[in-house]
Amino acid sequence: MGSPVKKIMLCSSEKEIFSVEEQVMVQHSVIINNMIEDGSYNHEESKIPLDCVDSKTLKKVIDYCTHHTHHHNDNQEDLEAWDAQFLNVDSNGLYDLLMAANYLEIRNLLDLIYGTIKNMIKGKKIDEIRRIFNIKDHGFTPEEEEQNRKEYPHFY
Amino acid sequence: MRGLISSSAQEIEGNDDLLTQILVHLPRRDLITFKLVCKQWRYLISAPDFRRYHATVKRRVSGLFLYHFTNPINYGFKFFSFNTSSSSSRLPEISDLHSWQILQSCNGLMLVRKSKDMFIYNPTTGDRKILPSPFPSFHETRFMHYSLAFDPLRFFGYKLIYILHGEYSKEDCYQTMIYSSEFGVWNLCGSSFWTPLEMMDFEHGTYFKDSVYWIGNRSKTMLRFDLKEECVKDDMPPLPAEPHHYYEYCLAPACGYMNLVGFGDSELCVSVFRLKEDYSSRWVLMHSVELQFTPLVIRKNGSIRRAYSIIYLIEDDEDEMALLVQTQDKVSALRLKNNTYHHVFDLPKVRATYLHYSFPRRVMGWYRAFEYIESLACV
Repeated sequence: MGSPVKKIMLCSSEKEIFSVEEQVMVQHSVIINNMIEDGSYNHEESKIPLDCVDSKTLKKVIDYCTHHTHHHNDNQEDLEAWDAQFLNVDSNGLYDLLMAANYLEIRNLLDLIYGTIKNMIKGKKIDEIRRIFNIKDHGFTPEEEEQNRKEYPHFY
Repeated sequence: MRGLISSSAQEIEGNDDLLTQILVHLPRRDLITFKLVCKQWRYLISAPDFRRYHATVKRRVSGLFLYHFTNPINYGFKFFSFNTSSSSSRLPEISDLHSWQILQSCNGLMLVRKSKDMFIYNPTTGDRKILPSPFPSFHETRFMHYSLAFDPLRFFGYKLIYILHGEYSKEDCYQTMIYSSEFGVWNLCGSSFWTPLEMMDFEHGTYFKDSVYWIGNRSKTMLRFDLKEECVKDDMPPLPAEPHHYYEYCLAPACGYMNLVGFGDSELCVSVFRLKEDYSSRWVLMHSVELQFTPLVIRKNGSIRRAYSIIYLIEDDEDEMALLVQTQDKVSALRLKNNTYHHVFDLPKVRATYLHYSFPRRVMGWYRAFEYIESLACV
């Protein structure tokens, strides 16, 4: 075997430390790639603090990047099946992942999540959308809301 | 489904950028409904920036300009609008286009030629601008091809790629020059490249996501010009292995992907592939349509004849792809999701003899189609 695999340390919001192959994160995360390239990450002592990503979400993000680094030659169906299984989480989990992927700029994962959310809300009625996004205060006056419901009953 | 009560859900609600990213990929029909979800959504969806962004992401095609290939004098130039009822859409300014030759259409701007002059034309506003020649003091070279790249989401202004070969380029190679509207000058790009002349169809460049692509139907290869690095790259996966002889491919960006429409002269099947770049760059078969028992195939004296020409691959309202197929004097949309046909528009009657000697050698055999996307871009 060649030189040992280079690792980097990621630190979740609960201050839990995850050790990941550097290559895995560099390939997927624009932010981490930039940190490594511009030398702001010191392999001896730094860890990358991800204050807005909790451990559960960070573990999933690492899973995603690791799988896609090591299985990129798999056939399309297998990868899509893996992705579908990976995103089989409740909507809270999905939104946590979206925030994390957005923060770390993991474009493939972002596209995957946007696609999933799009399918989740495409063709839905307004009441369903409000439930999915937990929108309590829609900001319309009661009169406006009533008028809208009267005018476009099929939207609700 | 359970409501989203996590802090993340609230952060997304409060994050216009993320919400925009979610909403911008939805079909227009949903956006009209979703304006009533809440005031924030209505504000976001109604903003002119969002509308432009949506139109660009969706590459919303409002119509097609069609040129007859082999008989432009009689059947010349036509414009067909896809918007039947929308009063908000603007018809293109087309009076001048009759005397021009459209070379390319890209996200709302067009590259057109009239005798020796090359123009950039915005068909929405009617604005035009003559392009400076890359070699003002020379005559036209025999081999010269331009490609237009315009993508307001990715870079400022528009760019033109010019490929030259022969007496003005060194070492019998191809060289590229790039023009940027931002600076208004032509620059020679660093490295030259070589490819057999008959291998690449440089006449029909296709812009998609920071590159201009060319296809070589004989060599089954592709080249691209990388607009960021300003050089030609030979790093595309090979075209899918041809299932039959004389299989021809045509590039067609739609639904946010680069697609490849393939069909064989003797075959009764159309295949649509999609370039997947998420894991490694490769072509994945998305749709394979059997045409044998459709109105597109004529049975005469026991033999089967293909009597259609594919004019375009479009993205419909539902985010699905549809092939625009011409049969004699009709153009129908073939929805790839469920293989259904819809009549789209009629063409002027073409005498059968013309069809015979314009036997389609490629996709867009009889007509070449150029998309009309509304844009207020400056030229």
